[in-house]
Amino acid sequence: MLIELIVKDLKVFFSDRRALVISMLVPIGIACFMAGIFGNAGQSTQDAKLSLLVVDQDSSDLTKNVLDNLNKTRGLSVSVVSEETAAGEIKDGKIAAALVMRKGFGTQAEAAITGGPKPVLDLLSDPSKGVEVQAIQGAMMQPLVAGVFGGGPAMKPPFEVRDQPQGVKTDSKGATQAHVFAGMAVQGLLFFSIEAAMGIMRERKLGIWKRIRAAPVSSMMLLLARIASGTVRALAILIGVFGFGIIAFHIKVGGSWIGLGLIALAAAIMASTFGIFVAALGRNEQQSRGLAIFVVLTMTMLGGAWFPSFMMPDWVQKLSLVIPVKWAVDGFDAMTWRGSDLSTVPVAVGALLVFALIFGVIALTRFRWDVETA
Amino acid sequence: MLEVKDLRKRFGNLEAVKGVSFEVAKGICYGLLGPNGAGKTTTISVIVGTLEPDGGTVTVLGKRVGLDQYDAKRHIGYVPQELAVYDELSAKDNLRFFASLYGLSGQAMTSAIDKALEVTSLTERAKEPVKRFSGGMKRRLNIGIALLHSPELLVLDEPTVGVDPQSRNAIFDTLRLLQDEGMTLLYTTHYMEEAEKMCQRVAVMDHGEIVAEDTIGGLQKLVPAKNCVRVELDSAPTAPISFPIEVKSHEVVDTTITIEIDDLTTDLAPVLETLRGQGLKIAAVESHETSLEEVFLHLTGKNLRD
Repeated sequence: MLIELIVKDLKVFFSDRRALVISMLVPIGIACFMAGIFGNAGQSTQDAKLSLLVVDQDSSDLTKNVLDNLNKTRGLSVSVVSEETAAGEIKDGKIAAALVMRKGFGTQAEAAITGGPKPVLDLLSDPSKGVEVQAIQGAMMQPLVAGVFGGGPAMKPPFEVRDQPQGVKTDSKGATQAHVFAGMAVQGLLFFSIEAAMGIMRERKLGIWKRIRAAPVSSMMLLLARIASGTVRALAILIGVFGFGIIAFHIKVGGSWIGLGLIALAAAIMASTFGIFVAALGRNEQQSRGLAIFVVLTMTMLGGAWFPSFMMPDWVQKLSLVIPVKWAVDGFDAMTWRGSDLSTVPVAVGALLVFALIFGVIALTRFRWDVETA
Repeated sequence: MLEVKDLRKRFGNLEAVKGVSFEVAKGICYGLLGPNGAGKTTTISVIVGTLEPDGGTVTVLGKRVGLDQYDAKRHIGYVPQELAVYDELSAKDNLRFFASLYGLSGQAMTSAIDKALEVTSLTERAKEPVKRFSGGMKRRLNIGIALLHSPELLVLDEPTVGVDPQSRNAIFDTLRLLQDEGMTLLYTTHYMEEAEKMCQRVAVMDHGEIVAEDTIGGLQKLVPAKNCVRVELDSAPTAPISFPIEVKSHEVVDTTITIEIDDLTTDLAPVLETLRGQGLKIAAVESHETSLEEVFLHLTGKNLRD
């Protein structure tokens, strides 16, 4: 009897070959992706360079020497910019750190070698990218010291590095926590979308959609209602997650509450349409769930919700621009710990709504209302 | 009430409906009978406006039915084969939701919900989640939802699938009540007994086509006369029996004699007289008419449940 029961279960499992293939492909796909990124499989190490902006206000022989050394350093990609540009790039989350060599640094450093006071190097940093900032600090110290000593034997650094977190309305720990909550909230939204899609498929299987469609209501109205109800539920999830973060972890909304609300609304609409998109394309629950989980996990990884984007190759970082998770997380970051004003909201909201529109149009044109039988 | 003309629908290589035509008069219960896969559900889907046909037309009260033909849809109540209700919601909430889809609100909605609950005998359980209902109660709610907007035509797709005999009878009572009130019913089933019990007119479908369409009596006449009489005797006959008239066949098994005759009115009396004349005592006599099952077998060469 036991064997028959087991055999029956195995037969059922193997009978849906498409679902079987998907359930195999999902872990294989994720494993390949992670291995590719962290193992640099098939990639040049050049792809994983850390970006460092340098502000050279001194323009002395010594600072030029330092710059040459930094440029030659493997693993660092150095660009010289103004302090204003550097601060802006960091505040916008585009760059993790910028080194500022102030006027007189060369003279002061040479004096410090012979016993004078140590000058200060400012390191403007993005507090949400603590791991990346530490990696940059580690990579730049040796060429920095060597540059100051002009290629001679390196000794104790004749300067101090002062960390200057940028655009932050909270401390580094708070910023990291806010970023984590943003990432996990968006991931939660997408998992909610999958469940919503499964619900739609169950209703289709039960004949509920067919019955609803027999009523004098347009298809457009039915799908819009579904998008609206999904949006409300997604907003409730966001309010719950961020509410918990604010109460338990004292996450601060350093930017605009209105902006936060608009981004949350856009993210909720995107998540809701994504759910209907999955339901529109999916044939049955088993197949669609596996595939949708794969897509969501990939999007959250690429969108920077799991780990810092600098750990990924350039092409992945560029690819993240076409992933809604990135825009949602960036938007939430901007409105919480970055303390950005409303001017940063339209881009994030616009991008999320474009994704929502794409998902919505595909869902509307491809939605299957019924499992037809002859 | 309902006119279906040359309806055609294809799914890929499968021609599910091949030029189906029939008319349903107001106030009758019209049966669409056929085995699973005959094309009944596809035909129904087009009639209720959830599926566009590849060809042909459907009109209800003269109004063309289609996906976006809302005027026609308002005259149709649809009871799907599946239990298309929300298990998590109460019966009342289910009814409220579906009533809103037909534009009902306020007092009109309340009255419609109360009436649907009353007709389906679910008033006492109206506030309970549907997941606590028995299969029969869910079936009744499934029907009640279709009645909310007082449709002139009620389309029922296999409404008694998986229902126990008691609940099935309750559903029949409800449908007869609706018919008495003037509602027209289009009833699909693969149960012959249901069609015989409920329908005044029946179309027999097979392989996407209507192979016969008539009243029950008319369909029975399609089968060559085959009246069987079974005679139960007190004791088994001891000698071979010879009948004075020509009987098609007769078979004796212990105390039971089964005799096939052409006409009950003229042939039965001589048969019984012969048995009595041979000293046999008759304990019981019974006969049966041609069933729809036999009609279907005659028309298609196979049993309905094959």
